[in-house]
Amino acid sequence: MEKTRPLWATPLQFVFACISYAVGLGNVWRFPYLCQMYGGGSFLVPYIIMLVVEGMPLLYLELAVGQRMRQGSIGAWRTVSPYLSGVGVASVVVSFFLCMYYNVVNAWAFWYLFHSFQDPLPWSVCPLNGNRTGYIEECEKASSTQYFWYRKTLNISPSIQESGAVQWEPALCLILAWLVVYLCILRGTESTGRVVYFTALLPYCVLIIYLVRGLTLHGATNGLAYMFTPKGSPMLSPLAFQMEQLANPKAWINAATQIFFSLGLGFGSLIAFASYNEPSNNCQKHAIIVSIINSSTSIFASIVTFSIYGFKATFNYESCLNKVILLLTNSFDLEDGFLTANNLEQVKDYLASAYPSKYSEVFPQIKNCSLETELETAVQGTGLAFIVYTEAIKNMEVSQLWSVLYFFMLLLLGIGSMLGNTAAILTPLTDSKVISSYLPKEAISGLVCLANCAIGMLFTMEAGSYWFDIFNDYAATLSLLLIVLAETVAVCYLYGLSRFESDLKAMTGRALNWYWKAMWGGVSPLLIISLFIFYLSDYISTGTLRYQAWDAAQGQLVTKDYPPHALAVIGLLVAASTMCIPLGALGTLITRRLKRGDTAPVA
Amino acid sequence: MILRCSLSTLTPRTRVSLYSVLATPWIPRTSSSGYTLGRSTPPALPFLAEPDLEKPQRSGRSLRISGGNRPVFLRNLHPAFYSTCNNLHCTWDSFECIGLHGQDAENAFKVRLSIRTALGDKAYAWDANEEYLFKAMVAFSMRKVPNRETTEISHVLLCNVTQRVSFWFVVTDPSRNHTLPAVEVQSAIRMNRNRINNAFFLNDQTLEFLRIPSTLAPPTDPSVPIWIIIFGVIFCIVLVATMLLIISGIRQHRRKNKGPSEMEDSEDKCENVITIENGIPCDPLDMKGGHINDAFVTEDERLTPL
Repeated sequence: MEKTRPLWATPLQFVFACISYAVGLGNVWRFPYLCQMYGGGSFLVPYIIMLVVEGMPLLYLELAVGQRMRQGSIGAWRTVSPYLSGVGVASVVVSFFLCMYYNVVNAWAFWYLFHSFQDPLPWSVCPLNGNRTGYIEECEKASSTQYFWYRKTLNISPSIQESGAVQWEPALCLILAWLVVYLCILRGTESTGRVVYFTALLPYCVLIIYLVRGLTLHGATNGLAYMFTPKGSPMLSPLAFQMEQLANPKAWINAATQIFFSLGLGFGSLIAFASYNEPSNNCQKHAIIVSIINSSTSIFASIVTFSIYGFKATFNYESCLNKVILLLTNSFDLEDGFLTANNLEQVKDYLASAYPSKYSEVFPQIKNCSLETELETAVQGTGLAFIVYTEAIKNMEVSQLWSVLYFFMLLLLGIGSMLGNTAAILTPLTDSKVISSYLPKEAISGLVCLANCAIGMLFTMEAGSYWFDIFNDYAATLSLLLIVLAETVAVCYLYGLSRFESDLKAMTGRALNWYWKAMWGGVSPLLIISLFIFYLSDYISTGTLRYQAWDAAQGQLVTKDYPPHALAVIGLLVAASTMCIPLGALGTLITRRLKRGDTAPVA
Repeated sequence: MILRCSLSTLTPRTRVSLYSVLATPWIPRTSSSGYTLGRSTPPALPFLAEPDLEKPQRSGRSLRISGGNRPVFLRNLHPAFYSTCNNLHCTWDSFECIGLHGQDAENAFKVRLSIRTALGDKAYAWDANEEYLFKAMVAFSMRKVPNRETTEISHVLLCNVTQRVSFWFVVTDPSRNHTLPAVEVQSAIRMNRNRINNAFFLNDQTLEFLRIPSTLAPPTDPSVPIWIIIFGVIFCIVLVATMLLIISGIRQHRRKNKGPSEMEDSEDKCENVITIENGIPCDPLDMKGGHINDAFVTEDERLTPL
């Protein structure tokens, strides 16, 4: 009989572990963007429907499999069927890719956190140029927050071909990030179980503080109004626009995708966490709780984000107006304080009629300030977290405090997710008798962290951010869909739904609801297949893949095509994980055929 | 470049009337002497119109200053002003600079103040005394330049004060024949910019000298960047914690290894081997199969197990 498996000290630790894994950076920086793109309040309709139809059943399935098989992803799927060991291996490979690039975000969060202890914040002012008569040109053309992100943090190169050297500052932060992750996973569930109390609860504290601060900011209501009633096209009223979005298939597909990836299905982390459960644990209840909390956190975070958007947009709009006022006051020598936002239009008309020649000289410099255009800048991903938020924070009072809080929250979210990602890799490794007999758990964890850290140095090079985007967009998307599809089909049809049902009943003592059976058997696989077909057709129809590169001379992003070697890497990424499934089945088939000569196969 | 200027050292009453004529033309205002502007269409702001230098003087109140080849003419500006000025006492000890040509024009600088923006409610009004202070500060700055220690307040000339508040100034040499070169004035102002700002409670943005770039404050770079200090602290803490955990883990591991070797003869070791008692394998509950029905009682159980 095997050694006793380590267990969670309480079921609460398991729930917190799942929550801290599922609630990650995507809730903060992807969901608000989707909300804005697909009709604000009306996006919640497809989102909640997909949660109930797709998110909860698949989450319950993974937790149940892990709890029943009591092994990591490789062992669990091998137990379900020997031909499915490839599914487990594919999960581990995808988790490995994810670990490599995900911790780089934590490194960036550390970098910003350490820089938040200065007055003024380094991203709030442009640095001076050589002879101290003005600011650096790149910073003038872009904004100070963009300059700090692209030049000081990333030191980004103009294209992906010019990889440049490893930047020592982000490299140091990456080493620290991996050290922190190692510290948390060192002792397995014993240490992870205690850390997840913090990584699950503290982000909520910070979010609540930010909610209160965000709602009391000047202009926050503009952002919130925009979230729930986006203007959309000028012809439609907001309500009609929202109704139109409901009929848009892209909204439903994005809702399904967001639920799918936000819960972290298919990586093997949930199976790993559930394998450390007591067999009698009520994982159905936990699955429902975790998925509801994950979605509510997304909605909560987007309320905070939109109030911050509103504040930033209002601030920018007002400073734009002030610039116009200053320009007119100086050109026409009007009394200081005479021009305000209220009489600006009147006075402009007067000046245009009274002094046409002088007005036409000044006119090209007068910008049209509009609150709507400021609100419409929809950003997602690292741009939202590190550029838009920092721009809003630098305009708040006591900005150092808000900055520290915000990046601390990002760190907690990121490290919580990393715990799950590393568990997905380590659990199969420590389960394997071959490896665990040679090396203790600490050494295996250390080696995995070291390997990931070394490869992660790639992302600290000057072109590292472009490689990060490649990994972020392509490493996990298609493969996960395939993996989860294989999982669902395997449990329902290979292992047998009735057999699984009786296993669960023996394990937990509760009968399986018809709803889960219907979802697992029919709806969810169909949904995943349709998502997969959509993604494939999207990739094929787009033709060449492109990326956004930073142009220092212009101070903005430009679109470029990926070079052939980048495309090859993308293909490798997708192939490396998806090919494991058929190769695993093939390998088992071959070994069985070879063994068939000697002994009868064990059932 | 030709400037049209106004009187600068008049008594406050004439100043108000002057402003009422020149500064905000489309708002009919009563001047202090009761003279109202009855205009139906807003007149052009006076500084936009070209001065008419060739016209003969309308009154005898003019001074002629000749400097080099280019005489500088003074004259009255406006008939309305002329009429109010007649009733009031106008002092002419300083002069108005109308029609500066060429070199003199290049040596003049425009100054722009945004007092209300800077101070809000505590904004002070811009009057003759403030101008006097300004002239004093400029004279003070010039005195610090070698060879210019004899600059007096009366050598600094202000003109065309608008309601913005903005005006032009120029510094003449003691003989009042020509204006000091722009480079000297520029460097003098740059050196003493901070003191000039402080005298008016303003800063570089609210007290602007056009064409005199301000020296931006150098960034305060500490010798060691702050972020490295914080990074070092956190790095050391995490490293120490990791080491502690690893070492305690190794110790526990060693204790566990020593423990089983001491208990080798003990009979309750059934961790890794399947013990067999009385011919029946004592497997614990097998999670994978359920092949052994442990609820089934064998007849041998009547015997006392070891």
